[in-house]
Amino acid sequence: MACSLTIRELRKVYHRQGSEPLTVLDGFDLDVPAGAIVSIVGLNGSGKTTLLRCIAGLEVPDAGSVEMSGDGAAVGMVFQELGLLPWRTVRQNIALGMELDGTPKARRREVVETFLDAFGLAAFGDAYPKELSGGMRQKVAIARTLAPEPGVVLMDEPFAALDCRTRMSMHSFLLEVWARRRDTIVFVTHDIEEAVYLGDRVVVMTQKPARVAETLVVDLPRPRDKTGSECNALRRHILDTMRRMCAGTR
Amino acid sequence: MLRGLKVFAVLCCCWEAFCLAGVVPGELLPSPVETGRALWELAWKGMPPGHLLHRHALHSLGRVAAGTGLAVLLGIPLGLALGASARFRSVAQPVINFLRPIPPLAWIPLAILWFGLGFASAVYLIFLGAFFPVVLSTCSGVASVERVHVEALKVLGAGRWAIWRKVLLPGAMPSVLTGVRVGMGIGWMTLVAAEFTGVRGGYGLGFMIMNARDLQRIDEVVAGMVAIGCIGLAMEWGLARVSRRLLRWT
Ligand SMILES: Nc1ncnc2c1ncn2[C@@H]1O[C@H](COP(=O)(O)OP(=O)(O)OP(=O)(O)O)[C@@H](O)[C@H]1O
Ligand SMILES: [Mg+2]
Repeated sequence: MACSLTIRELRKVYHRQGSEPLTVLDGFDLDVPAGAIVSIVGLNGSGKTTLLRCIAGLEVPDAGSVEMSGDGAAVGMVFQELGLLPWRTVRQNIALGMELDGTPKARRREVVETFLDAFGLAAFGDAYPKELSGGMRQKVAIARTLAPEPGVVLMDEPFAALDCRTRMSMHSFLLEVWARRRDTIVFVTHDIEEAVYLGDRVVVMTQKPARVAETLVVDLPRPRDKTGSECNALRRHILDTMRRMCAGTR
Repeated sequence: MLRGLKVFAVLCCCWEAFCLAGVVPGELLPSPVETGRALWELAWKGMPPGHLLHRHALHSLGRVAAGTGLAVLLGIPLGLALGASARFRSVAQPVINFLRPIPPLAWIPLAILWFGLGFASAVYLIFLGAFFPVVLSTCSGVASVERVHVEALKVLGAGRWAIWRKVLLPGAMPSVLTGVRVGMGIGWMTLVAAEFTGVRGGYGLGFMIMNARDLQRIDEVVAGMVAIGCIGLAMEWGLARVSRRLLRWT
């Protein structure tokens, strides 16, 4: 079941030997309604990955709270590096989450086949990750995350490494899957065009220590026109915000 | 495979040519033809007489299997523990690095004192040769598992045991198999030395070679070396095949 996500006053400090403690997030608030896509944009090193890692429970925040509606709600994460297990076939990779949560075998197989069909991977079910193209690997990583039906899906620059054609097809593909399932998605990127195209909202992060600089509501029907005037206006607005931010830190 | 045989054929021809030309005096090195004849004699008459080559080989293989098996049985768990825990590593590594450079040969007096002349001390020496490569490659195999693979499992809700079973063990597998291959090779190399410590019933390739030496049968010494080389080659070839099968994903 898709859950909503509420983050309040999140603070994360990294302590490293021999250097000053580094405050990456400070007083970060975020609301993600159930079934919405929220894009998060920020410059390199602004703390986007750190934010997702805090939500996923891979880092312990120093203060603040991360709450999800629904009890025992799980998160799923598509890592920037994907993290497909190279010794597992595509089928076995997609089934991984369901193996861990104890889904019965028959059901598991059924879900895996559904994903293979929907993702156009039917011919590659028994291939190993090394035999796939970058775009296909991306799909497998997304399928692996979606298969156990997590309450919140976190995506960390999932399409950063793809060429623009593959990226565009991944965009429409992701939206197609989302339109059917209505997952709650937190989508991190530093590509403003992508953020506006995908998100119901776009959250702009400040430089370290990161908080929310601005939240924009993208109230445009899908499919959107990436280079249409509305999208362009939003992009210009976000760019201005970021430019002002950079000028401010100097 | 075929190319390998051709290389051997060419090398043998060169060797024979050198012997025929008198470059190498016959009392220092027998020619391939003489070595072949000696092998034939070892196989059908035996050295000492009645102790046939294949029985020597079987006894030696038994010792190497026991020694290497023991090294694998103890070395893999130790290597896993070393790879998984930095604290344990910092305690145990100095000890291992101290013991590792001591050649198995140097252990012979102690081995005889502890285990007496015979099977147990031979196995102990072979074990010493095979143990450290297994430990070290297992350790580096675990340590080389990518963090994102472990974290992917954590986000999917995996516990410690599941992380071991689904990520650390398969991820360390290539390295472990290399360690077993190297260990077995070194174990086999230690054989002659190990059989110095005496053999039960007068069987063992090393024992056979020492016997031939005592009788000044240099042709049979070389024939024994050839036999050891051939068996080592076959073992390596078999293990390489097995690991290629197991590591189809790499
Ligand atoms: N484990 C860590 N220990 C210490 N500092 C860290 C650690 N992880 C991240 N940082 C620091 O925290 C800051 C934010 O890093 P983070 O990876 O969250 O940025 P990001 O917004 O994801 O950047 P990018 O767009 O390059 O992926 C960086 O300055 C980084 O050096
Ligand atoms: Mg990042």
